[in-house]
Amino acid sequence: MKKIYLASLISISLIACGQEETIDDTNYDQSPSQEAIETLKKDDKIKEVYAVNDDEHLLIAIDVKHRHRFKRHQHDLNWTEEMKAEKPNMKVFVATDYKIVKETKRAAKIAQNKGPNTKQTIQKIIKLSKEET
Amino acid sequence: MKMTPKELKEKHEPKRPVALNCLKAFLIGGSICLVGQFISVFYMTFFDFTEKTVGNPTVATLVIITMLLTGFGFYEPLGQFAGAGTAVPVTGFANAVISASIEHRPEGFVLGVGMNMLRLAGPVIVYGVFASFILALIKTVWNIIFT
Amino acid sequence: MTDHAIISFQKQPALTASGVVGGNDEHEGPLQAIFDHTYDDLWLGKSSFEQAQSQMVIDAINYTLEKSALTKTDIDYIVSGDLINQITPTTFGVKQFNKAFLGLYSACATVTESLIVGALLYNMNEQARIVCGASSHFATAERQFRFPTEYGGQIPPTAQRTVTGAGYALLKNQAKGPKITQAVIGRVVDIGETDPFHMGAAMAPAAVDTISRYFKANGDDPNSFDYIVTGDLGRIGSQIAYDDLLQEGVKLDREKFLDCGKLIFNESQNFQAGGSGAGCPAVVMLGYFLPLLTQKKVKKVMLVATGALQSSLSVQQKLSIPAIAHAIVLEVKESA
Repeated sequence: MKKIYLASLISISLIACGQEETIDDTNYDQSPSQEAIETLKKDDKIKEVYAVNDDEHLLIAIDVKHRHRFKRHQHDLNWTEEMKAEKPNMKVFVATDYKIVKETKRAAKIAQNKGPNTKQTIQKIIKLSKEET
Repeated sequence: MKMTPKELKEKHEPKRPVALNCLKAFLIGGSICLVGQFISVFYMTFFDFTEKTVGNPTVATLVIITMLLTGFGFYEPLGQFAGAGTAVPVTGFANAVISASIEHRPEGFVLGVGMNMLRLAGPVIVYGVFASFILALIKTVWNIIFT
Repeated sequence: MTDHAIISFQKQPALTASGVVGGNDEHEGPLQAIFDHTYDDLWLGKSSFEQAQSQMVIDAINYTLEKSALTKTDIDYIVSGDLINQITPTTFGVKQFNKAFLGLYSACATVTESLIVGALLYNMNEQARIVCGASSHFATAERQFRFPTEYGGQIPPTAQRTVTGAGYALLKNQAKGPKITQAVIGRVVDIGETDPFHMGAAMAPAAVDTISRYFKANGDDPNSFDYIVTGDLGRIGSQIAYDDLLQEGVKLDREKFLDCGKLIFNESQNFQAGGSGAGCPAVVMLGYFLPLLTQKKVKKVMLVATGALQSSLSVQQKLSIPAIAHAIVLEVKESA
């Protein structure tokens, strides 16, 4: 009896692990990201900018200089406005969060090297940043 | 010249080392916050937490650490040394709850631990909630009038 | 007007033996030799600190009886008290002796109060054998009067640490040995001190009141005493009391004015101003000064135990801390 339990347990976990995500290797032109980076880098409040995009979303993550971090939510809004004006045909998303910066940096690197799953990654990051608790 | 007991008291009372106490509180309190920051960064690096959501697991971890320190009797001497440094961070709150629970364990889980757990920390919760209610009210009224 | 609260006993009971137990912090202090037994652990293997304190009461009385070669059937009265609400630790401790019991409360002055009551009972009947004493426990007092034991709040340098200990002594008719010759029953003195972390300052005026009343009434030379021992004024309170006594005209040598709270802990133990609690004077007076008298190293000692009569409620209601000091005079007669 015990063996059946064990076997079913293992098989369930194996099935769960085996459900591999389908690889989407569409490549998107990263020039909107590059343009956004070029524009934002002129702002002296910004230490580093990372950006990644697919055909409809533009995700921009900004590493704010430490002494400006206190008002970063205010700056965040300004930058979002600025970018929306620049890219009216894309859904622009700007974040200054440590975690988002880290994830965007990774995603941008993958996208530039023509890696897979760009769209999914962007959606995942946007979803993550909208979590409240 | 005869001195009253109050004057004698002031004469013999040792001066409290305020500057030294402040320094100790700064160093120990700062170290606790540094540990908290390390825990935050750990959670943000290895799990899907953002700066907004990482607060809860970090606080929970600090509370668990404090629980162990309190239970094994390390927190009380640390508190005597650091003063406000250990009282102000979340660890001080956790210590107040946990020490009261340990203290009232002999009276049972319901009448002892349950009733007395928030004996020290209760006022913090009551006035914390009350103060945030008042502030929310002020903000709402402010927004109605000036926007 | 004569002060009738100063009693000269016609029949003077002898303090024949004492039993003293203490906790681990007291064992690490300078007076470790006076204890009959010290416990490593505050719990004493019991499920609550109050029960541990009851066990200390039982053990201390048993040591007293053992040293005076009596059994528990040989005693008539137990007069005792402690700090805890409704003095339950003492009640639960003495119930197993099944003897006439008077429970007292004068906070930390309970030990001298019990000796005074014991001596009065002895004056009723010279054959009576009376066990007197008091006890306190660090954790029980701490949870009742202050904060939980493990709470990490900072304690100011004027605070005192409650002694874990119980001290009991046997009063009976005996030609030899130190005798209670006089007693001063204290008045409640309140100077308006409100800081529960500075008991020494609240209690010092009570000690001064009691001591100066004694010398005003008797006209004795203060230096005819080998020691005047206060209960638990602590380092700061003891200084305050000594300066105040000089102002009151009690000219006493500094080294003759001792304090139990100062004696029981080393300064290196970091217990701020010293020890306190009903057990502190009980342990030091009955464990340290009584044997000095029995061995005739000193002849005449005044024991002034001081008590702060606040409750945790009265402190929360911002009332001041009233204090009381009861004194007894112990003498060894040359002829004995």
